[in-house]
Amino acid sequence: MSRPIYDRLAKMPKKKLDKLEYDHQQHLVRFMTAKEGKAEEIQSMEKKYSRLKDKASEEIKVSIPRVLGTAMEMRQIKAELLISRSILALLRSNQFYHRFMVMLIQDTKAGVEYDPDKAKNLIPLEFSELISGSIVSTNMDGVLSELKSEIDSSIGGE
Amino acid sequence: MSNIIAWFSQSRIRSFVKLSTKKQNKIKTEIDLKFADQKQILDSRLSYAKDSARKADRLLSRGKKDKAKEAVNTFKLDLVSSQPVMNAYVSTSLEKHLLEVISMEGFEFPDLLEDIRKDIDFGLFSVNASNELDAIIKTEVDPFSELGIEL
Repeated sequence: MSRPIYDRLAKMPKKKLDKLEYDHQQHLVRFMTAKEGKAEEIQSMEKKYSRLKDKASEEIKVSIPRVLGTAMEMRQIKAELLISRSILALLRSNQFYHRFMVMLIQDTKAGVEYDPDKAKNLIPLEFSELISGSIVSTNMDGVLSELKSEIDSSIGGE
Repeated sequence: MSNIIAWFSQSRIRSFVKLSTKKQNKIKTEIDLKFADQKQILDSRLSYAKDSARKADRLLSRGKKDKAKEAVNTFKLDLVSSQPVMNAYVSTSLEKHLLEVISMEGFEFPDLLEDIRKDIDFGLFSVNASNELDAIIKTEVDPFSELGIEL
């Protein structure tokens, strides 16, 4: 898959490779910074959600109507969390792409042989939580599990 | 099969990258306005619902069970009426944030990753039609069942 990219890089003069490496490095830093910002935002939302859940656990002992208002707030934060986690995945994929390109360029400059499994091997390290502890596939029931099966079968997965 | 990331395969989203900065900004401004309107409506619906819940609690503590039940019913109505707004808000918010990321210098669609691994979870971006998004939001954003509350 990345062979065509590698082949293209291999034909480039060193000066052009240096420039390309610099550009990808700049993009890498940009997406890494954005990703870290988003991760912090998510962490803060998760803390807020957890605090509200604790509050709700206390309120529910007193009266059900009292807890409903808190549950409404929790609902809104959950929706924001779903959105932010999806954006985080996108930022992370861009970070990965530029990191991968920097590596590929450096490998080319160093005369390292093309390894077709390189990207495949790097992905689990970078995306482990997006693969195993997925965003919308956790705590799924009913319609969601059906949806997941549909998606799985359409992509030929498990 | 390639291209399962529904949102990224939309021609509207793909063509956004090719637009001039001026045109991109125009689209982003339109989305920002839509987002602000939907947020305002959603906040207002949620505020109504919270008021009804507080009212029900107050009435219940005063022993006015029937009136409290009525207030809880109003809450349920507010809750149900907030769902479509919530769905629209999530969809617009996703698009707004997606366009912001696309506008970043060096942005690449995750086609490369998609080719290598089929199991990377791009969350709500992987969801295809709006009814699927609705279903996910409804199920995933339900703290009531998490708290053991049956409405």
